[in-house]
Amino acid sequence: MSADHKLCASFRDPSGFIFMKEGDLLRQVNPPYEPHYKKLMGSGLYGQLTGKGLLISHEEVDTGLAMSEGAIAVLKPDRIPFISYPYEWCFSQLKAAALATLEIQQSAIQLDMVLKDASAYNIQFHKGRPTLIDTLSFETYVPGTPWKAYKQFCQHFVAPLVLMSHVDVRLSKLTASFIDGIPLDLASKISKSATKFSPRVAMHLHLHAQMQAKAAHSTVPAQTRGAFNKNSLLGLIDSLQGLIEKLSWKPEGTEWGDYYSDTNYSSSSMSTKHQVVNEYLDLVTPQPAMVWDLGANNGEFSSLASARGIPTIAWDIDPAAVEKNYLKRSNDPYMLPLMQDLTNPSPAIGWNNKERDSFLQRGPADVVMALALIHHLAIGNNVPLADIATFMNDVGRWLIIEFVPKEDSQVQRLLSTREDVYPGYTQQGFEREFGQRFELVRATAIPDTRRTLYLMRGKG
Amino acid sequence: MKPMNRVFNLLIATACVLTISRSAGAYIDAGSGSYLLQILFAGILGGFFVAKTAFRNLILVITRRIHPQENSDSVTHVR
Repeated sequence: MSADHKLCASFRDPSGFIFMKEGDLLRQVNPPYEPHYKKLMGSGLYGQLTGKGLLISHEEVDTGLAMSEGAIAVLKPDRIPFISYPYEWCFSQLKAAALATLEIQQSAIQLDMVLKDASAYNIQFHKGRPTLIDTLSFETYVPGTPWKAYKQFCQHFVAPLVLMSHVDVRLSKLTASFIDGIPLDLASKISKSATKFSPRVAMHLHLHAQMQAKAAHSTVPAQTRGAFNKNSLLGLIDSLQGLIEKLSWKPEGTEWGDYYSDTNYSSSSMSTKHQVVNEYLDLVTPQPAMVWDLGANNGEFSSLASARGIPTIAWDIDPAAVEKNYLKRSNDPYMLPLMQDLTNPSPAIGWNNKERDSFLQRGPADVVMALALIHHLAIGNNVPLADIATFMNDVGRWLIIEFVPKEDSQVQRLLSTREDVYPGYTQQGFEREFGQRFELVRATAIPDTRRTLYLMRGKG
Repeated sequence: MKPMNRVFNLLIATACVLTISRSAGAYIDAGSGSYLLQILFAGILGGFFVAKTAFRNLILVITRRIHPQENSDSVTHVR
């Protein structure tokens, strides 16, 4: 969509909203938010947080650019190359986002401000680290008041992290079903037996869920007579930090976690593959602004793109692979490992199905890499080659793809437990179907294997 | 009513009495239960935080005496 428009995800907070104008992403600040905005900018909090990379930087532009009348400011924030969602993050990414939120809240309290919301969607991975992108999330601290966003923080961060750490890491997928975070009663019910001996989990999750049920029909109190002073608020944040820091998950025993130590690649063929992928990236002109590596595993080949300073999304279905990639390359500002099941990609969710974009809506990338992936889609999931070619053409302008024939031991492993109902899965069939959608630029056989690496340019 | 439930309800009632019932003014739902839980634990949370900060500061003071070149800015001030 190129015309000026308000972003569909930006409608809940009356303080302002995000909109597109002449290709620029802008944020309008509305009059009721003026005192809070002035305090954010004047107290030193903005400078402190942007200096640490915890808050997105912005420049103030002409209020004449506002989308509606009465704006007190129009901000042009730094552009984030790619928007990702909590249900696509691995355990350590969600944990880092939670700790960043608490650190921001701690800094804000010291300067008499607080976070008025604590949605995980307000955090994005920018230059490799979790960053708050909603500049209007702060408000002036009112002495004696509890934290309004405590419930939201527990639903968006505590509940999924406790479930992932203590029950099963795949439960992070629940966050896609509950857009305002996992209901605490549900998380409590699922995790109760596994978290009996944790006092912090007992307070922030189980007791919290019980309190919500018991007080569901009580009037919401706004201010206390000093019952919740600043030390109590700092104590709450400290307690949440202690809880989150102690949660852990070790990636082991999953499908792809040790893939590269379990392949038929020799070190020389692996090195040739690296070299060919690099050559193909050189041939893409102009230099790509975005690379998606589908089935990226631990990011071994994605890093060839990110090393060139290209924002690279390393997608993989396996939480262990994404976790390992994130932990190994957390210092790479251009790499973003994310979870994605390509046979059931992230849908558009939220109000009017427009709050959070689908996987496809966030493309196409300039280059898509699909290395050692096609057999999993064609044979592992019965997707016809023609459909895979269409999909690849939808998500990328250029394609670096590896064809893995039936004779390959990895394909033989897939075929060992299923009937071979894939007569069209041949190199000729692959070239024919992909030739409908792509122009073949290069093909290189990988020595000591039966595999071939292709560079293709989309026909549009 | 079970004794535990009676205690629980009493705690909620106490928390309600301690509060002034006015609109929270938040654009998100702050949640009555979440508010009450924070108020119930206010003393414990604040007390632990003050004690923890004081302990940390004490350790810093001792460390500084042993290694005088260490930066004195790291002392945390309790509000």
